[in-house]
Amino acid sequence: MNPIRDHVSCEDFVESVTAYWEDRLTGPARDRFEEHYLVCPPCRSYAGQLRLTTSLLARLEDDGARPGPEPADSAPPEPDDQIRAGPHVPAFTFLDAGAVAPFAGVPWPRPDGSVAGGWVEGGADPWRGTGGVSACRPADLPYWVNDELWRVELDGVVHTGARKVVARRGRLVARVAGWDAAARTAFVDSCLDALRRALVDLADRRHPEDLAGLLVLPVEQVVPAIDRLGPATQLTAAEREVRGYLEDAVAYRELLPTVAFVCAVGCETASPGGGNAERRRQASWFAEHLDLG
Amino acid sequence: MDEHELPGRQALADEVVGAATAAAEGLIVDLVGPHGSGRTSLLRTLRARLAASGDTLVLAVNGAVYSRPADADDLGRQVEEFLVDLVEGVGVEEATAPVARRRAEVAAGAAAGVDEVPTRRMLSAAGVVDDLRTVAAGRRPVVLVDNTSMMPDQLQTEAHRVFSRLISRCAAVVVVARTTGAPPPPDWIGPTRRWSVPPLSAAEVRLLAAARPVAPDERTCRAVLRWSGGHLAAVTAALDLAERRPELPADELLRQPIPVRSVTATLGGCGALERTVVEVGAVMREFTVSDLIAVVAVLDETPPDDLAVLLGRTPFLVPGRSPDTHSFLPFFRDQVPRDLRAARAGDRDSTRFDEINRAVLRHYRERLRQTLEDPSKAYASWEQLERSDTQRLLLSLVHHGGLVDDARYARFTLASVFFDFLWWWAWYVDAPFLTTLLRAWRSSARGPADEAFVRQLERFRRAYVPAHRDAADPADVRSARWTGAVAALTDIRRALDLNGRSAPERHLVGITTAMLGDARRRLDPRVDADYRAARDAFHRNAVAAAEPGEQKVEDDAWCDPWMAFRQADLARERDQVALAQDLAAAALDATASPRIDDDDRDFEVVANLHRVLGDAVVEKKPVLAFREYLRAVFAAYAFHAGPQPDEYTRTFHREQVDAVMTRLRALAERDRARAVAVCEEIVGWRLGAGAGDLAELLDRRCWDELECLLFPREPRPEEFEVESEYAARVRTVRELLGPRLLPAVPVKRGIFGARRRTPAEAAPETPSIAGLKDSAVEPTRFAPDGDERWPRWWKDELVPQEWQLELDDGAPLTADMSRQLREAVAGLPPLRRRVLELRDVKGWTRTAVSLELDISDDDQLIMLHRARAAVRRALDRHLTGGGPA
Repeated sequence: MNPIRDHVSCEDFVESVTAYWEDRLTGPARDRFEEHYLVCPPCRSYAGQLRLTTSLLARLEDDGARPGPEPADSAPPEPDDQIRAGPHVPAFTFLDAGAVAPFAGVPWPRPDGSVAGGWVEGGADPWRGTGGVSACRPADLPYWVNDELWRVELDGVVHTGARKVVARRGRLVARVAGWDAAARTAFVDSCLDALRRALVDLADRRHPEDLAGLLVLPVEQVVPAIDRLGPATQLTAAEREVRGYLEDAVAYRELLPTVAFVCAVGCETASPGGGNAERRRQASWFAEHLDLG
Repeated sequence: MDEHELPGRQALADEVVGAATAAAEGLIVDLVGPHGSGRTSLLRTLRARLAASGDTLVLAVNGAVYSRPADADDLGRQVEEFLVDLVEGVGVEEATAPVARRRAEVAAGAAAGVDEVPTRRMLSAAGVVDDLRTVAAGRRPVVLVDNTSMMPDQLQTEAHRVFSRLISRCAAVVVVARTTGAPPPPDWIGPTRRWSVPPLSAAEVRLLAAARPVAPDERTCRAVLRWSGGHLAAVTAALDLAERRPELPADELLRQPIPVRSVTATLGGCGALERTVVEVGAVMREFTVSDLIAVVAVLDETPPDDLAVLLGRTPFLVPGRSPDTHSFLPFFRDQVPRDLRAARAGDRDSTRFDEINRAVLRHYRERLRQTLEDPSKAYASWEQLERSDTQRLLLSLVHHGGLVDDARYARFTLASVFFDFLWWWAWYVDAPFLTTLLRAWRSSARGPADEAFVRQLERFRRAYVPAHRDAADPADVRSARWTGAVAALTDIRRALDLNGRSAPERHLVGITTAMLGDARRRLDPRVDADYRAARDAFHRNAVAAAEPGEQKVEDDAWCDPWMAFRQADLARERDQVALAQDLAAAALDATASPRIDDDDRDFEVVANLHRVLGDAVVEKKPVLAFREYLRAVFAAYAFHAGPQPDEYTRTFHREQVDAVMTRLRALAERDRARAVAVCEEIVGWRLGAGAGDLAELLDRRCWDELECLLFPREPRPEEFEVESEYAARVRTVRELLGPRLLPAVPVKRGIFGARRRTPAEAAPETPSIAGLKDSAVEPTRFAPDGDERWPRWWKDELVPQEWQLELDDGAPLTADMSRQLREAVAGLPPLRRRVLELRDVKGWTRTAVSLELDISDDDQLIMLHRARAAVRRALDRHLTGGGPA
């Protein structure tokens, strides 16, 4: 059974968008939906079109004269509210470029010098749907990987889920400087390497002599090199699948969440449990390469 | 005298130390030896020698400390613990340091009432290696790992990572000790040398026997040596007691308490055993000698032969004590080997194993119960028992209860443990716990053990009523208990999935149903005053369930209809239509009879019976059949409107409606005119949201919309209590539906749950309709389910296209866009259009729309979703220039 089946498929995704917006997806189902949203650009664009459709419909009634949805309450930063050790819970969050929340599509208030950004308030029931402000523990980082990595502080009761924590409100403290273009490239390379190693380990048992060289090639040349190996190195079905995932991962290497996801799925295909191991490796990559302390 | 002081062992130690010292590039030493060959002692020697050999930093880890993780979270914690242990174990002499630390944590946690050891900081393999390098300060690390094979696989992989780095960066020496049968360590990187540790020879055993006062003869000595290390320590602790109190007869001795602290103090290094003793001890506070033997016996994943040896030859067989006066020992010594032989010979039904399991478990249970009830013990009241403590204990009992690796016996044991604890600790039994139990149970074969299981259940039933008669819990505790019991029993009923018609299984359904009914009743505040009457009624029901042949009680209203339902369903499956009708109709007469108070009516079975009745005639007389289906929906509605509306009743109601809709779709495929007629009749009863163009909806296959028009929506919470307009309407329709009686709505009480039917079982699959069906996006745009890598993900060439759309914020829509949108909206089926207009165009809230249109939130969600998707498709065609849309 291909492990991709444990994840939300696009066909499931397009049937769940409204339920997600209506806060009818909760718990793990919500996490899986958001994971898919991050890793699948076509579905992101589908959801964007659906949202655009609703906003067009709203303008149908009175041709644009009606006010949009009310802006969320965001309390202005309190003047003496410096960043300091306090009762607030530190965590991390990945955001789209420009400190934009990937699911809500709205920017977080940025910190100004040493003053933390304004609080982003969630609803009355933080754990349910869009009611709260989500953030990551260090181990959760690989699931939400994105353009910008920020330190955040959470306030109020913090609910812990399998892959994220949710609080009543949160605010940006500082951007993690180490997560720059070079780090993103290094992270993607480490993912691709892990998948390449999984593929070679998988195929290694049968013909080690053919495959030893693959570990030192530039990763984008691995798949062509495998294809050149000739009929003696006939791939098994599982190896073919992993090869395909590697090919996809190289093709998507510009898309951070996608490549991390594809590598995890590929590793899981190569060996049961490999996907989780890969996600843990990705988490430890963050711990090793970024100053998350 | 230790094993390594024997001459042969000495030479082996010399050889290993020599190789380790000489290896400049780092080395993996793989020590392989059977149980009882003294690997642990050899490691101890190596540790002393290597530590003394100069510039080394000795680290020691015992794999037995890291038990198998139950899930990913546990694994993460295991890995963390391992890494912390590695770092904190730096420089300590004994591998038991982590054990001591954990013991202190558990003790501190118990004292503070905390149920979890504190979470540690997150560590990475690289960080650990760096830490170690700092601490080592140029010295050479030597890592000794005992019991490697007891570490979980994933942990071994993590350890492998750390060790590989240590070897490559610090030229470390890693010594791994494992048994002969254990798999070799995963592909370690680095030079490896392997030594076999031979079993002790007879001469060596004689030497040791002379040196060890605990071993009165060679046989015993050999048995003790098999259990060297921690096991030996445990047994020695017991023996010490025997020597201190020689006046005690043997069976008295077995009942003597040993303080947990003294047991754990002697168990250093024997992780799994020591941990269990700590866990059990956290609740029990003390152990008896026989507890200790039982724990040692069941904890080890021991081959049956070895188990027999251990049990038969413990040091209690000291000279001068007659084994015959002793009840516990002969049981194990004589029966266990015989039963093991019998089991191996294929006599799988030997009931002796049940007795063994029961003997051990009974003992524990009795002790636990006493401890819990004794106010002088640490847990003065039940509330103080932490939930996780209890569950951990329960699970470890369940785990250890299976003396033999036989799923069937495991199943029996699980069930017996479960039911015993259910009535003591109903509120601790939650869904994950149940899932664990039931998965193990259901995976097992059916057979004679089922009979045993039912016997166990009957025992449970007998105990059930008297126990609660005397219940003196405060009201809120009792309520919590019954809430837990209802949830647990509902889960059981669902999980049992009882297709079987064997007598034991019927009894099982009966008993579970009765318990569920009773538990629900107790939760209802209205019957609390009538507690005694409710209890007596339950008791009569339970008796009738378990002994169907015996005298029936008058209000035995719940058992027979369920049996009749199953028989009728079976008859229908076999095309015995007349029989199915007779059975179902007779059962309905009994169940729906006006003699029975609505409070006691089991609407769930009524719904099921009506559905069977409909299924029996749907081929020939669809209109008649759909009247029965409608009654089924009604009964499900009444069930849900009972005193305990919950997820289960809601789902049941939903399933009934779905079942009818599935049949309606099948009918529409077969005979459109009949389907229209059926729809018109149902709409005539005015249950649903109102009239519409039925034929058009049928033709357009707008099933969700049809459903809203035809059937009563799910009741809202406030309608459960008050005499609402909606309830009045439903009651009026009831009279139209005659002649068979249907319940008044809303009713006061619904009592029973039913097993869920899978959709496939509920109705034949309708032939698929080509084209869009009701999907948001054409299914052809997704890769097929059989796709190798991306099943049901977008096909590359058919992903959504970019929209060519210029939009200014706040600017009015262009006339063209406006027209497109209006056309798309106008093309929607009526109810869908209403929902979309109110929600998206006019901006109403969800609640307002549900109230206005008198539909449920679920229905509204589906309508809105379909409508939005349809408008998006229309825009997509327009804005992508007729691309794939």
